Amino acid sequence: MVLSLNGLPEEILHTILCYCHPCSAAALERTARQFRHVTNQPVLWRFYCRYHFTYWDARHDMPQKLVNPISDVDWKGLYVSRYLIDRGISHLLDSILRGQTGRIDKFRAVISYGYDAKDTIIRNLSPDPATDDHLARRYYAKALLTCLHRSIAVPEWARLRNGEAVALERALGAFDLFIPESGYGSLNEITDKLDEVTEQLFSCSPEIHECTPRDKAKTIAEYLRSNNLTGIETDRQYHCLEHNFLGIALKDPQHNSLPLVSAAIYCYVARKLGLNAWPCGFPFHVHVIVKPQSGFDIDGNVLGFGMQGNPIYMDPFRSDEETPIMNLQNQLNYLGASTTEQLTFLGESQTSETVLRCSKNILNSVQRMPQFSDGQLTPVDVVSAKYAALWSAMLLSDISRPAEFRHRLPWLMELFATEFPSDIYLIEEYMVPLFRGMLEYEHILESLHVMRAVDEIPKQMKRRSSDPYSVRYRIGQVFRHRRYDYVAIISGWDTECDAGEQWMRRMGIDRLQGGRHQSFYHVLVEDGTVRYVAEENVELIAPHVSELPQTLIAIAGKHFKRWDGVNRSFVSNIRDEYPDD
Amino acid sequence: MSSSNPTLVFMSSDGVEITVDRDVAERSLLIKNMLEDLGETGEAIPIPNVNEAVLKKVIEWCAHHKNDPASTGDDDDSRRKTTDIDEWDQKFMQVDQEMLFEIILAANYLDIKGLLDVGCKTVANMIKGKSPEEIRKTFNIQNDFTPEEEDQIRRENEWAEE
Amino acid sequence: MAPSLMPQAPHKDDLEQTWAFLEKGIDSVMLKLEEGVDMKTYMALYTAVHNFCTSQKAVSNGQGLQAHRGAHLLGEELYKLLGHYLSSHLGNVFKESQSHTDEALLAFYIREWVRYTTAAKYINHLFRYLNRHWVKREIDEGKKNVFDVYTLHLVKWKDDFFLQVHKKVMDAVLNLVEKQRNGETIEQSQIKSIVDSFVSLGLDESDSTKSTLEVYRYYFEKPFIAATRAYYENESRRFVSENSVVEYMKKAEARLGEEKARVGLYLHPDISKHLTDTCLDVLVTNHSEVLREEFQVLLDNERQEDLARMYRLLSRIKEGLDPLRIKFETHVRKAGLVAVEKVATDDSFEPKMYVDALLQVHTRYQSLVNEAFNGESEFVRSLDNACREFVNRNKICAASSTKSPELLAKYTDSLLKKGSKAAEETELEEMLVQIMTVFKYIEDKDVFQKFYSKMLAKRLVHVSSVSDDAETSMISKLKEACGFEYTNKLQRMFQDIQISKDLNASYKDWQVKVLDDDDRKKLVDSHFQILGTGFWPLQAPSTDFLAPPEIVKTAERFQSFYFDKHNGRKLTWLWQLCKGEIKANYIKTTKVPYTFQVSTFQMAILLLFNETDTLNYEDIQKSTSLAPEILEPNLGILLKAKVLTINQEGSKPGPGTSYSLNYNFKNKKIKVNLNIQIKSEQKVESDDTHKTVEEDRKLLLQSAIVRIMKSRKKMKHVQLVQEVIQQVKSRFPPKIPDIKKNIEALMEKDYIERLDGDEIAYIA
Repeated sequence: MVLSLNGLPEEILHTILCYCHPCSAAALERTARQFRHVTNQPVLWRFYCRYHFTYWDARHDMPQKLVNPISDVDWKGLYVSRYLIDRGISHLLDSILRGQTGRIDKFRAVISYGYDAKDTIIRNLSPDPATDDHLARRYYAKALLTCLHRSIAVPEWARLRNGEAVALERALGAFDLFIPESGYGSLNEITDKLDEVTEQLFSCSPEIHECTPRDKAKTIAEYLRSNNLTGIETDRQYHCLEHNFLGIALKDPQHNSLPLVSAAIYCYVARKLGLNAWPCGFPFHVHVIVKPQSGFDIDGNVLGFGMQGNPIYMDPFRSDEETPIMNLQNQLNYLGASTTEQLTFLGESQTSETVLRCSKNILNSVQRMPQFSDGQLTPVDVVSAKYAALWSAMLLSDISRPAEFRHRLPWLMELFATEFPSDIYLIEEYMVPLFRGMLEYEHILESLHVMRAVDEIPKQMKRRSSDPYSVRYRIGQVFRHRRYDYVAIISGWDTECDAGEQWMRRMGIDRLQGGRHQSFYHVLVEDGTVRYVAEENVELIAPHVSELPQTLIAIAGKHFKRWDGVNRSFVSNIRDEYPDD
Repeated sequence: MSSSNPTLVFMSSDGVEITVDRDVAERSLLIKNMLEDLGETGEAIPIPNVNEAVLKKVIEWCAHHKNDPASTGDDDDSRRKTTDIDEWDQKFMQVDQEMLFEIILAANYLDIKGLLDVGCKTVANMIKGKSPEEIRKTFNIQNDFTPEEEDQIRRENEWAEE
Repeated sequence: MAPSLMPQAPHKDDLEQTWAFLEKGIDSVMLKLEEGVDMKTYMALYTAVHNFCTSQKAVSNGQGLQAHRGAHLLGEELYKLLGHYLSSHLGNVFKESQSHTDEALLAFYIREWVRYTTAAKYINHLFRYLNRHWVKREIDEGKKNVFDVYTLHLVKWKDDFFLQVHKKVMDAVLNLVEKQRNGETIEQSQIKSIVDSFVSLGLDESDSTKSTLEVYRYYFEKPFIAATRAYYENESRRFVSENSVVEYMKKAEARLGEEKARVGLYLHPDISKHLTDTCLDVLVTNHSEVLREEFQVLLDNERQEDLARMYRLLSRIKEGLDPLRIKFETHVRKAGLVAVEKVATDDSFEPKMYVDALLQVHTRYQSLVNEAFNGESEFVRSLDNACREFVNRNKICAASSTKSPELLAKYTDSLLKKGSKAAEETELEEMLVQIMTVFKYIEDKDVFQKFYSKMLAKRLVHVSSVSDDAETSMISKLKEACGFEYTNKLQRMFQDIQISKDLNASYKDWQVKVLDDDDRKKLVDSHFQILGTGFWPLQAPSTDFLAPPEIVKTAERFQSFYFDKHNGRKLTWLWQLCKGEIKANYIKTTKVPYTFQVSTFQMAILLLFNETDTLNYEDIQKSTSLAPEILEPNLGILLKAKVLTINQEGSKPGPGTSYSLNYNFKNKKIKVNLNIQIKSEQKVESDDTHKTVEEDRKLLLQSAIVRIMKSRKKMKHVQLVQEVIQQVKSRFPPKIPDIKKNIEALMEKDYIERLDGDEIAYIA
């Protein structure tokens, strides 16, 4: 008999199959009986699950499945179901890219797969540049991914609002999920990082479990500080936006963080090592309060049943040592805090308070941005950061002070509508109920209704008339504004100014040479804004793709499939609205 | 043969002696372990499972790869990240099917992880994207299912068809 | 054909044949490795394993459609048979071991262990194909109790041999160690080998690539520690009962060192902490009471070296030193008090004796802390506490707590005054440093400041400082210790004197320009000091005074010069501080006339006698306007020096007396100093100083209260008191009733008001 595939021992066939796509394993199974065995090995399908998919929704409880005996799980079945999800999501994404109608529901459908959707989305995040619609694909994949992350983050705060127990590191980690640059997609990834830190500390000082609480507290502070895991390098601006994010602080090699974040890192590690440590709501500078176990003092001496010993205070941001309570009290006295206020300031703060404080810090940093943006790019997207801060502030603010809500609502709604329209489900589910019974309620519902209607009703087609001069420029062309000098892409047109009378008056449209009766263009500007420009202000440029601003290429995907190097313009992905362009 | 290069002698299953540089021979973990345990005796090393033609082929591969970093053990996941095969190996593997499988078996026996991987990748690429019928044809496999069985098994694997 | 040279290979599908072949090979590796294994056998064995595992018999055709999940790769049978083989081999080893004990047993164990593990490495290689596939798959699928072949060897050793013999082996090990502790020489490498073997047996059941120390800890460390504890409990109990504590400490220290070295010699470093802790517990903690009882004895006898040893031992146990620190503090305080008492027995002791006594105690115990207690900060704190106690509360301070700063200031003055015995500059500087040592402990620092500034003023006014450098050095030391505010006035005083020097120089130039010859002839040689009112602790004269016309003229001339320069300033003449020299030309008994050094008051009295030889009391008083309490003592001095004679023999100066110039005045020196401080003045001055201290404290307290309230607006009474204490304690230890009194006083002045609930508010 000639040696062939069926002559190989099973272990070699297994190795070969590991190099094959699972569909090939299925095909091989169908060729002959002798391959049925090797193609159905649970180890093979477990391998496929792990190798072909990185991210699994929490409902699978993958870490546990991987530890359990292999026979507890139908690995092949699991793979197949995941494969079908993957295919379904690919189809949904294709459909989103095909037309502007019904995108909200399609987004919703993708997000409803939870974390299982992530592998598919990530695959589309960096499509082959030869793909016909790679700009659009990248744009919408990114929108989906960030929306997916936010839909993991927001419920975390909502639970906190409902009074459920949410771990501090998760509640703070939720901010990172809003930031695409953070690289985090799940809260577990942040917890894992913290566990890693704890693990390393433990391996450096294995005797720590035998220490008294006071020594433990000190050892932890020393470890974190000597490994540069807390505090801010001296050459850094204190208020830099990225210092507010727990996940970023953990991941960044410099580990810069504000006192609040430093305290959160400290508390996590300390609690893992058996200390009762919480951030303490001291004004201006979050400290950590470490309370001894009931019945003992901080040095581990017995106090008597049920007696509560005095806590100690740590400041992992800037010191290895404990901060004497006298110092804190003196500062509070200096600030003129009353006795009851002092109790609050020196006590442990609720997780929701800490989150609110973090959100305020972020808004504060955003406000200061112009002060020290000396041209250097922040590693954190400002808009996303602001959006995260507003969400958390809205969800966790005291309901008894509606003024704050009302004040922030327009900001949030505007950001949502312009930058994150895919979040409409999150708004409906988590934001709208907060306003039930308030004046704004109807108003919000109304604007959401409009958004849905715009999404659901197919776009009215705008055909070009036979007169070639009525609308001179085409969708996808790039121009420079004659007066304001910015570069933008044409993404829509009207034969004459279609904005309201008020707008026209405010903008002085009638003072233009051509007045209101000339073509007007909707345009996507390099800074991310959308504007409305009179034809006389459009000065076409036919740039080379390398001359286009990167920011413009990134947002072009919203309406365009790709760059056309021959015509030096973008290829429209909104033919359903402008079929002739 | 340069004197600075210590050599060994292999004896193939069909009784042919082949001289090999020691560092080339040590690509085989079997040989490496044996030399470690027994030291070098000067006598020919019998390779009872591999004939001359295959053994020469295997030695050719080892000679070309003698400076590759040593494998880090049985780390499955890292080796399966890619089915790419470098150009030299691709050319090396352009042999008839029988020889291909012989090389795989020899690599498996001699414990030469790199070669085993290249062989398996080559076979995997031959299966890639093929229908069951095409696979049967490629490898000359007899369909021994009854029509009912075949139908059942097709339904079980419907998911894999686009 | 070559294969004829190979050992007869078994048929690959036949388990029995294969195993029989393998067993024979393994046997020779396990039992006769020293005879060597030939290459052909080696290759044949490997090949037999490979061929068996790759034989196709399990994947037979014709099975139903049902894919048989969970079926395994080939190899299980070989694995099991190998396991059985090892068990039976180890059974034999165990049997043989039973005939050995003690060191012979150790030698046997080590020999068998080396043989077994060497074989294991071979067999692991021969069975590598099994490891690569069957074992790996089993582990991948989560099977417990399947190991790679090498690990299987270790597991078997542990289960089938080690667990039977570990106790006997450990007994032998512990016997050896005890021998060594008793001073015998032993074969250390044997123990080292046993340790290594025990450590190797620590396998992580969940991941055989990792190892743990569990086996070693349980079977070696535990009994080892227990034996160590028993040994030293025994030894130390006996030793303490038969020897002095000092001898015991030496022994304990030596033993601790030995055990530490033992770890490096043949134990695993993991035991280090545990072993040290045990030894410390047995050798130190258990005897800490006895050691501590000896502490006082050693202190009393100043046994520095033994104290250091005790410190080293007790510093290594938890809270070992706390009782020592308490004893040490008490001891130092007592020593200080005794030293002061010795000084106090002499009623007329000098400030120097007092300060020296304090310093001596401090120096002695500071060096003890540094030498014996490693300069440890807690002992330094105890020393400081003790010193603060005996410096501020001792027999001499019993009457008034402010005695210490007063005496210290006086001592400082005696050093900085001309004529001090510390001639060398470096020596003086050293003494100033010592003064600061005592100063650090003084609680009433404001009292020191008062006295110091008075005496500085005198030194400056009388130009009696030993050197400007020394003065500056002392001021900067005080500034360093207490801050700028504390020395502000002192510095200003010092500056005034420097400015005055310049002023006098320019006054001389002015005189040259302005005076005519006639004026110049009558000129009195003069020197002026301009002292800023706010900075000097000086009062205007307590008596009226009509200066002699010569002086008046001199003063007026200077005044006109000064006002010329500084329009609008006011000058007050501090006559009581002025002095001069007059020549007694009327005495003809010497060739060179006597020169009297006199105060201005004395000068005024004596110059009256230029007109007449005899004057009565009332005339003198009228001409000088001096108050009787000034006039009378000065007359007394002149009488005592026999410059004047009283005409009513035996009377004291007073109304109704009259005085004549003594033409027969005689003195050994040509220069006669009559400017002596009047006794009563001295006493008054000291009391005044204390009085002003009280006044100043009141002000300091009130300004602190106002300052605090101004920034806080509102606060609790208790908090205010706390805060005030914080602010002023660097100057003096305030008494709470005083603070309260001053709060009340400020309320009366409407600076602050009392609100409900014990709160106080600031009234803007």
